[in-house]
Amino acid sequence: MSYQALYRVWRPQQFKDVAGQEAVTRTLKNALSHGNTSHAYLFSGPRGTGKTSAAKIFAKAMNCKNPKDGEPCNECDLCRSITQGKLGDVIEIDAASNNGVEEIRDIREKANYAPTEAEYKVYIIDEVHMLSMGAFNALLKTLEEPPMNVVFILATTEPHKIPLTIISRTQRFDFRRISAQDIIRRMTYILNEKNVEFDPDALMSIAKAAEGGMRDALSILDQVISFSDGSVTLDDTLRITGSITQDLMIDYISAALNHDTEKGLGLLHQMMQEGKDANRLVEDVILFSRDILIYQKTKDENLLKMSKVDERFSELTVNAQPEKIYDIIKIMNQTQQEMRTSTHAEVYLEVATVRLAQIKSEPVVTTQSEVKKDTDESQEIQSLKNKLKQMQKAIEQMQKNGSDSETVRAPKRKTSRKAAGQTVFKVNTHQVFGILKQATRNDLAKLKDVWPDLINALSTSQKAIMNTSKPVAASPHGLVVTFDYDILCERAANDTFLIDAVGDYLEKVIGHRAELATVPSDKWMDVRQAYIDQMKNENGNQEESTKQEETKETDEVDAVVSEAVNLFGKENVTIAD
Amino acid sequence: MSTKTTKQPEIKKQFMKLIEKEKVQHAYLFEGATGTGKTETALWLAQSLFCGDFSEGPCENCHICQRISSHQHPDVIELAAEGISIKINQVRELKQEMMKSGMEGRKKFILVKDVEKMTTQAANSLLKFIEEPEGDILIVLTTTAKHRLLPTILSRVQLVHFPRLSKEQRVLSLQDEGLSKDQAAVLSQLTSDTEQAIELSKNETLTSLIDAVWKWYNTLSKKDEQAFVYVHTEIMPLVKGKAEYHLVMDLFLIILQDILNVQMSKNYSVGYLKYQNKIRQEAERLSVGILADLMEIILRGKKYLDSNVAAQGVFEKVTIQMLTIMKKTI
Amino acid sequence: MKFTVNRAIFLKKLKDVQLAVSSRATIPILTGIKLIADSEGIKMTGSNSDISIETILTVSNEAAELTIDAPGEVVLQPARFFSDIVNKLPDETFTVEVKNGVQTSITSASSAFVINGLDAVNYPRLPEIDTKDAFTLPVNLLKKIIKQTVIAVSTHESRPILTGIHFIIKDGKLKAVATDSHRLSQRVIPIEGTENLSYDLVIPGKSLQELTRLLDDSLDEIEVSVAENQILFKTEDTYFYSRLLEGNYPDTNRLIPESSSTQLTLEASTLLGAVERASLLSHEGKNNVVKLTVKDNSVEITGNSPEVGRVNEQVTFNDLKGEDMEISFNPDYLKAALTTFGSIEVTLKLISTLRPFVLVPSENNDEFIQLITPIRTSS
Repeated sequence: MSYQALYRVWRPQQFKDVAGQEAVTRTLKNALSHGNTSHAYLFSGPRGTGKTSAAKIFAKAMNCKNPKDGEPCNECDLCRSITQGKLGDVIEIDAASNNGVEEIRDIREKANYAPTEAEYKVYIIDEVHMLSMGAFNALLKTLEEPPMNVVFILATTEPHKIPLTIISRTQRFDFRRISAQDIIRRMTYILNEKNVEFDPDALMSIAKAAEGGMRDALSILDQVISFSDGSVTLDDTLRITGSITQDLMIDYISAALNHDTEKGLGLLHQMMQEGKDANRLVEDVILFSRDILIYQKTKDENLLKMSKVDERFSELTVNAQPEKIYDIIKIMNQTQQEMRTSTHAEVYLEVATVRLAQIKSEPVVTTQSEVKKDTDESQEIQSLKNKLKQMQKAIEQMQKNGSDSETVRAPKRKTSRKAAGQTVFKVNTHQVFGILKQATRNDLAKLKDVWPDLINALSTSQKAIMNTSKPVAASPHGLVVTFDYDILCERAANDTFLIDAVGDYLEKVIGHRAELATVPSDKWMDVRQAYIDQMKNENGNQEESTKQEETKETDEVDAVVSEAVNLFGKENVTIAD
Repeated sequence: MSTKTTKQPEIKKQFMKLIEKEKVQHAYLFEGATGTGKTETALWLAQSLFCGDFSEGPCENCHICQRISSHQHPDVIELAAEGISIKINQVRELKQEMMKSGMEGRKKFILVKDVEKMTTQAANSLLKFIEEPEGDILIVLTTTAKHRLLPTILSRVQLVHFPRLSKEQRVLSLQDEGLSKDQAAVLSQLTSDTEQAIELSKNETLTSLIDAVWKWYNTLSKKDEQAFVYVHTEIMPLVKGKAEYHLVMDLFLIILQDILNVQMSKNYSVGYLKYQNKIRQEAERLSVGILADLMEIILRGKKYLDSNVAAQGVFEKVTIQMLTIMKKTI
Repeated sequence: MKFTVNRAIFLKKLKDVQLAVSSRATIPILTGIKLIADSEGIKMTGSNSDISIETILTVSNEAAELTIDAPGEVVLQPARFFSDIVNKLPDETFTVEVKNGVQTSITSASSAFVINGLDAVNYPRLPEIDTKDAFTLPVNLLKKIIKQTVIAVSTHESRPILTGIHFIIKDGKLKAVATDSHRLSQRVIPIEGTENLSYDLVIPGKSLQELTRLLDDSLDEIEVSVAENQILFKTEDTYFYSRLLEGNYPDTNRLIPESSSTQLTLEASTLLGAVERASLLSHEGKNNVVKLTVKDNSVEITGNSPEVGRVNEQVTFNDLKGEDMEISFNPDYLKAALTTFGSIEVTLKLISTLRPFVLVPSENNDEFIQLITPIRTSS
């Protein structure tokens, strides 16, 4: 163990070597060179950012026999003694072990003793937030009436725990998290001095894992150098930091966005087996997701916490929907909280993975999933998307009338659906009309309420079918459900298990079974219109009133719809009610 | 100390390299789940440091190695929680000890077990000392909960992760120890510590518990409200003490995890091997969302147990919650 | 192992060894006494890991009436228990026999004990110390050095190395220094036969205090050897080991001033008396400060405790040279320092109000220095 850790050997001994705190060191140097020093300082900031090092440099500079521009010379015997921690006049105290009133009183008393060698007696009190209230009060008295030629430097990683009365009597310096660039610069310097080869990507990974602490970075660097064979490679770094590769992360996030629970869980188990730390993983997913959002907004790689902008990353940010990424972050944040006090981290992660894959909405295209059937289709999608944008703008203007947001959505859905090739489904109009005859708003509302839960309750394969379904009309004994794809209508109509399952569920939840009629969503309006026409012809008054009822409620909507129809063409507009 | 094969040969190999190159650092954090061999490796490292007959590793036979493994060496100091935490006076005594050179030689080795159990004060007072210890000292901290440690401590040590043995390996080694296939399957899911698993297997209540929990699940899955009574008549009589209450929850979790993972991967080796056919059936029936809901209920139940809510109440509550969920299924 | 020995002699040796045994031990076996018997005699060891004491009784020692029937070793614990037994045994001699591993029988006349011992293989090993480079010190002188320096040792854990006494052996001299950052005590003595030796170690103050307790005034000389982690003080039949402190002791030479502006020579006892009286007041008050004023060829000790009162005393001195001076200090420090001189004449050398001052014997003033840091006062 004669090997000294990098963070000890390369501890900065002058202000110019303190990385990432230019504002602080500049101010301190100026004060020193102009003899403008104070009797009490508070250095606060996260761990490994240079607080204790700066305090010692300051103590040296104050007492140095030949200081230059506020920097200690590090040659005179006072500087040397202080560097080795051997000068009696520079006293380092750890507040955690000496946190009582008695200890502070003793310090106050001893502070009155003249320094033995140096000009200034310097007390460096580390982790000062650990002092008891009584100790703080005792310290306050000394800060109020400081003895001459005594300087107190208080250091802490938790400034919010320091009473304001103390803070107000010190000159406060906030040490910031050191930027990745500064950390990399320092590591590069050290590695060059030591003639050690390195991969710049590895340094970036270390810098990001260090999260702003230079000491953390140097500890990791130390470990990578010793566990590998003397060079710093990315692979070794990832192994040491326990981080997962970016590719794996993209795989995992994509699986979630594609509702691929199976893949997500498979990846999760693989990562756990490889020894990835569960808590680390959650943290990484959150940071990575945030990176996606940040990059989507700013396109600035420097703002990213842990990601490298390569092809896959770019594609992911182009195709991922911000709302869903947001949901991922929300779910993971919650999971992180729950996991904190548990020994069953992995179970929480399994649950989280399932939840992530359940996040609702349209499928997202990533390079991982099957490439779309034709490039022709993608072009068509693009042109339809453009038309869609125009439509949205128009509708937004009319939103003031409080129209159903579903109205806006409808055209969108229709667009994407149209792109995929379809088999034509024959609507069982007889069945549908039968249901419509007795349809009520109430039944529909009830059904809409339970629909998401119903889908949730189905098995994976059934869910796949029902995922895009929507109830559009309901009677006491039947319901009409639209599907985005004809083929799904087909499947649903023919799947007796599914129909039974739905029936069972509805029986439990709303008290009665219901006949299921399926209609492709693009045909719905026509079917409905056909029904209305038929009823008009058959049963004058009764239908009028029903129709009027409906019409009244859809009046506002109609205005929007007609505009939509104008812009888009009647056949392309489906109104879901 | 067990004479069985070493738990983490890779890690020991790495340390051997460092010892040869004289690049062993002064402070390490061994982190990993229980039973992954952290203490065993730490003591091995201590032996490596002190053994007089060191060649491909410590000889493990000389009086030095023997005294280290029987915790009797004056220069190998082990600190562990007295009660639930490691307090500041323990750290003070440690620091007193550390300011002197060793008794038999200059070197000293310190092992702090479950360092996450240190009070904040104790942890803070250790900082300076971990950062710049005087003399020839090697400090090893162990923990199963790295995320609970002060970042200021993490910053000062080298992290060594102790991975779990793969489930397959653990099942096989348990079977080697004479456990039945069924037992090995459940126990290896319950704990990754082989020795602990063997201990548990000797617990007669455990076998009854495994079956009782299965019965409980079954009743719930049939949406039978008998499950509520079942808690009282079949579960409660078998359990006493927090450890066993958690055991019940953990066994239930294994069932749920089995059902979930069997859906995802055909080759998944279930914990409840004995009932794997039924598990596969359930996998057809229950959606992942439902399973996630059920798992969350159990996890929450475990949190209640930790807050010392009465066990029977917790079991009843989770039963009700699960019944509600189950009733929504086909 | 089996031996028979004279009880009184054995007990005397056992008591010495017991000085090092503590009931609170870092490892349980240290609560016991280790006994080893070989053809030459028996050896007893007691230790609290910081200090270890070993004594030897040889067969050639007639008074000991020692007969060794079989060699071997065992640890008997707790130590107090064993010594109580030996103490209460009826006969002049007693026998110890170890059978069946660690079962130890202690017999004397018709009284027979069998107690469970521990395997001595598990007892800590004391370092093998090469006595080739040993040197000898007169016991009385060593005891005096310790008493004179240990007063300045730090009692605070914040700078652990200051809790020890710094021993530097170089150029045929031993320098012992102790300081707690506010006062310092240093003694230098020549040692014969150490011109080639060079040692720099720090011994815990507590260990050295225990050593003075162990050493009889009747002893003449003691042999000192050093290993990398322990120091050994050896008399003819007793070994005293102490662990050393880790770290680098500060360079104290720089602290001792070369020159002075004021030199005051007087009887140590006179000054001590005056300071003691003044300290009565300062102890009663809030700040423990006493002032020494040198002015117009007079020396005065004053104390001023607001709310309590005042004290002053003119001090008679033998010689006074240099500038007028005022200096405030902690009276307890000065008392302790003065006490170490005994009744001799001392010289105080002062530099200024805020610089440390020293006390030395007025004759031969190189070999003993007490240094005290003054207190800053507003007045």
